[in-house]
Amino acid sequence: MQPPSQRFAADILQATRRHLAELVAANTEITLALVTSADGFEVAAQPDLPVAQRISAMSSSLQALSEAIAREAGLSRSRNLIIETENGTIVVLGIPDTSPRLSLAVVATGNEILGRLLWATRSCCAALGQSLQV
Amino acid sequence: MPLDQELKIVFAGPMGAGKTTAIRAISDIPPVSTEVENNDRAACGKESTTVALDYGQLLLEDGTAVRLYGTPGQDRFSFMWEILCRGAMGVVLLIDGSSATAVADLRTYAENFHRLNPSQPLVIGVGRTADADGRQLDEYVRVLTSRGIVAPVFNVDVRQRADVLLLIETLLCILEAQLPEANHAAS
Amino acid sequence: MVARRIALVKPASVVDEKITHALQLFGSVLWAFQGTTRSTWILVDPEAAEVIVVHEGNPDQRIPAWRDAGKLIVEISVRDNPSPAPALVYPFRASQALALLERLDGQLNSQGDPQQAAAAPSAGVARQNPEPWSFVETLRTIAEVQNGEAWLVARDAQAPCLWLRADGAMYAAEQATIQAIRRGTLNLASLSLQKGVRPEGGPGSRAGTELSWFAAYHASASLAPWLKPAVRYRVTRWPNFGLIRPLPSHIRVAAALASAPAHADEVAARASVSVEEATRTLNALAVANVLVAAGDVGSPVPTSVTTVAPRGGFAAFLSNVRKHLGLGV
Repeated sequence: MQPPSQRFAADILQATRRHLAELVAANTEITLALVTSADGFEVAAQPDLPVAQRISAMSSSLQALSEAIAREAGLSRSRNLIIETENGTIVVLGIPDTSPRLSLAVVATGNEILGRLLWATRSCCAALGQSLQV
Repeated sequence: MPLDQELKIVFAGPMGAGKTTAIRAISDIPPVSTEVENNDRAACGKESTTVALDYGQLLLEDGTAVRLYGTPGQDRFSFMWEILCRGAMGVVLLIDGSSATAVADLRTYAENFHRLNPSQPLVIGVGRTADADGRQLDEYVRVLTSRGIVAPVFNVDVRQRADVLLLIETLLCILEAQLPEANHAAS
Repeated sequence: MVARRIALVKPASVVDEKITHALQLFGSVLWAFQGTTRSTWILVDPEAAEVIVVHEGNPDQRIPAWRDAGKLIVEISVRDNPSPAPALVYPFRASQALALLERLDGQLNSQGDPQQAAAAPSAGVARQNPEPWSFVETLRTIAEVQNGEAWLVARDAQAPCLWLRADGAMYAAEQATIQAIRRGTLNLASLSLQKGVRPEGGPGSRAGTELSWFAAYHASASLAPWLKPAVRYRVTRWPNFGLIRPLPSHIRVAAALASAPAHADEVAARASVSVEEATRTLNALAVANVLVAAGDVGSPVPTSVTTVAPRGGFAAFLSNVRKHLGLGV
């Protein structure tokens, strides 16, 4: 598979990596943060773990499914998707106004308070949306 | 119906092979799609691609629902293949006969599904073949036979409902042949 | 091109079906390769023939007189490993029959045969006493030849009705003829086949596998001569039903035989069809070259259903699904 540097423009990559680094630095319970395209390609990951590619694909599937469920239920567009486990949480959010469409996926350990995590990821999303705006 | 009694048929195959079209041909509900913009036009020229699944349904008279799932085509979503195929009545594998990677695609998908469940009925439909005499499919059958896979391989056009029904009827017959005769449909 | 006169002498009474079949096969080779051999072989009565084909051990009392008259007597054997080796041993390949014809041609040439008239290359071969399997045998013979360039044309009493590529892979006919072939209402055994050309601007071509499937299916309600009643057969690959467009019962029989070996009675029970239906489909599967005797291949791995049983059981479920989708049973 092509690496992100061959698939996405340099300025997109740079901005994305910067915002992810800031997010992870400010929230120590976050173990992985990544930005993925709607069709499942990893844009950037922090840290850059081998599992990031697979989680990119999976989070795009989840994002698409959550949008489909919201549509079927007659609700407006899905804002975020939360997966809670015994020892951690995953949040997937769509990044507004980007082309190609992108989403942010964040994996955090159990110590992270959900509300705080949502606030931090939504802030990061908004910042990403502004930086990557079409 | 309890959740563990889900009845499903899976449509699998590479991007552009016609999975969504096939489901749409027989589903009683407008299919639910998880298609997004395709940013990998080098791999496939289609404008959009399925990233989770397609979903359709047959609603039988007695209230039984048969769920129709279409898998995403690309390798990076292969985790969905296992999830969707688990417990399925059978798999309809669609191959684009005009693709340069048709034989490789067939090998990849057939081997994967055969490995996941060797006794799960598998029917293969090949569209857009160059010839009209079926000889292109001889090579496909050889590829399968060399891997110990005996599965029907038919020339089809999934835009034609009759062709999709042929694949489904064959799947049902294979399933039926695995059952004791007492479970066969009355003739 | 020289015209040669040849006769096929069938036994007065059928002692062994293989004899009838062997002579039939030889006749099919003559029809199928008409116009492609060095000389043209025309079927005639024995008294007018230069070459007479008989089965080994035929007690016909005219044979010595024919020999004395200088006719070449060709014996076909149906025994395993006959000694001394006759001209042909059944079952023989088309190429062996053609090689024999070339040798006979050479022998007749060296005898200074006076018949040197140029025969019309498109002279038809009149069909004598068509057997139910004759057309199917012709198709089987043709399939051995990889000649995708030439076309054959089949005529009924009035006109051409069927065009067949010389390798059997494609055929063309009007819609009414196609439907008649599929329904079994066209007497294929009565057609005469000869060299022709592809119909330009005429009916579109269809897969030859459809023609051979339905020709075999409708040929006879009895097992084909090359199948044995007591033998269990199984399918080692599926026919291309996408091109054949089979009846639903055909799919059921194929599925049953792909699952486990069976003879006609067993597959009828397993596929919930009549014994006649099972027999006809076995014949078609054999002609499609997908059938083998169970002893010739390893046993299939038994498979069991891994999907959950639907509420009401599988029998009701399968009926309901078929009814819902409008599939035949």
